[in-house]
Amino acid sequence: IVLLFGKVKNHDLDLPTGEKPWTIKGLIEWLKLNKLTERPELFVQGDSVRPGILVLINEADWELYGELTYELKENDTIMFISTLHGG
Amino acid sequence: MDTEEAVRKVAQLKEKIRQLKEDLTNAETELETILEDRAFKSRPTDGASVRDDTIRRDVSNERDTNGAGQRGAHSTDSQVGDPASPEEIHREPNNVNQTTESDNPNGPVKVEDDCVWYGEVYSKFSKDITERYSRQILLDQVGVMGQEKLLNASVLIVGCGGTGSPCIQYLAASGVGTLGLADYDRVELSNLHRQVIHTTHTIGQPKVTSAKRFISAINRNTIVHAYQTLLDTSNACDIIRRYDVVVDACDNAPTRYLLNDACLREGRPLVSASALGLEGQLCVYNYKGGPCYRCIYPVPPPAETVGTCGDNGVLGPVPGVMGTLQAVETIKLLIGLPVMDKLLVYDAELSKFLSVKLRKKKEDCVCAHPADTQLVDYEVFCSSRANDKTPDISILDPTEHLTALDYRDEFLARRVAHTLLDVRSVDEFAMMSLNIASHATMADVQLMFAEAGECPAFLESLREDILAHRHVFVICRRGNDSQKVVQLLKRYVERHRPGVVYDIRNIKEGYKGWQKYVDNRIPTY
Repeated sequence: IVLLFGKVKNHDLDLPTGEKPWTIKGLIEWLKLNKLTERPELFVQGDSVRPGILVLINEADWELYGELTYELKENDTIMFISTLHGG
Repeated sequence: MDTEEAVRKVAQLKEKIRQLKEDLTNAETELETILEDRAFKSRPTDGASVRDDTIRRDVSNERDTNGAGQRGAHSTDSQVGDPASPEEIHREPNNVNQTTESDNPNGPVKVEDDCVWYGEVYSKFSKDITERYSRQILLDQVGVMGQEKLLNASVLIVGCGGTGSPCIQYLAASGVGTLGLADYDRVELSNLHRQVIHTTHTIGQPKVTSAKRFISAINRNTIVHAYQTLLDTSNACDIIRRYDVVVDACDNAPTRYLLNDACLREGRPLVSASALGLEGQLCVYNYKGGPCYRCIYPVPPPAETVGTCGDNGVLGPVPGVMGTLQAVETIKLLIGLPVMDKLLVYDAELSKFLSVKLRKKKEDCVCAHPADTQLVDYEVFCSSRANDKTPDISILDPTEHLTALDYRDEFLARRVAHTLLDVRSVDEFAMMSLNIASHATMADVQLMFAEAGECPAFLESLREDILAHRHVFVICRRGNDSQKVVQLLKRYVERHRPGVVYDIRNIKEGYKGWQKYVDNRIPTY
């Protein structure tokens, strides 16, 4: 996934504040438009991440936080990790 | 034509020699094994050979009360993850006379059901076993009972590659009684930087044979069952059923889903690890009410997003770390210690381990009713093959291909002006290339020959160089990417060079083809 973001692993984001709070769904859309440097189909599918990407919210499975609907807080760490199949 | 015939003859003879060499290595290995076995069996009754007698699941209460209290609550004799009962576990026939007086002065005087007598001294295990495993028996967390569990345990390791290698090594060395090894593949030179149980002497041999040989060198007591086959829907359950725990050390998505489903059906815990590049992941599935692989990854990844060690590369010790961790978790699981209930992510680039708290078992997942799990065709389910080899594609007309041999004879040998465009990565090009080749990465090519958009100046001049000749041939590692480039180039010249006739063709099978048909001395990777 790093390759899709200009080979940069960590991004500190200052998201523009608006009326509605930021959700993971909004973040994925924002990343797609602003940070993704190539081949969006390798990152997103529909309005979520593609199968085989696990989203971590502060180092825990996003499923524990309501997945796409989770509302981001100041200094949250969101990670996208790709399943590995090599061995 | 004379040269062509001669080249072919040489290639044929070389192939014959290669095969004969392989046959010879296999025959030598077989002979070695037979001789070793004979030497081993003809030894007088000693510690090693009484192993099967001295180990019994039912620990004598009377003699174990001393140690049991110290080892804490984890070392209760509980069954592991509801595995097969001990009767079901496959055991080698026992042909050692239990109470023979030994000729060997160091051997035991008398072997009973649950102990060995050396004169007045009672020993829980034979001398060999006690000494071999003493360093881990000394641990509170293991103790005599833990060691006994390991000696009675059986583990199936699927994949004898980068993660499988250290896992096999440590499980055998720690005294896990029975190891099943499943791998369809053979040892290649490009495996050795990470698959450390294989050696230059076992190149060409089945990985399971090579692994078995390695195990016998470190621990003759280990019973090894080798399955030189690709696990699939037809055989997975039958094999998995014979083992207490399954270690997933495979290299592809279809096999991971297969192992998950088969382990659900047979009620076996699955210790899974994977590695690629400088990253690794480890997780224990289907254990003590935790999630299964499908709870976390219900939908398989699109095939084009799955990287392989052969295409993306992998740093040797990274799968080694993951396989070693698999051995640790497997041993803990077998002796009843709490195991990892998180997903462990290893980032070797940042020197970081991350343990990720995972979701609970999903109620709508197949694992809610494990006995009903139906195995499917996992290659269809994942739209990819159950190996890590890259499939060959064919998107061009037969006339758009040029074989490596024809290229050499018709263009290189006759010094016909042409462009050879190599579209591999920078490092692949630096590793080896035809010296006449121009180089541009796939990303460069896409910019140069795009339908629209800006193109940097240096690429524009490279594009002019490429199109300076009427003959343009494209080469890559296997002849897959180069086919896409041929299409791209053809579309470009139709649009931008109307009226100019170009001969744009793909070098069939790429450098692999050159190695196969022209010169087998060149390195392949």
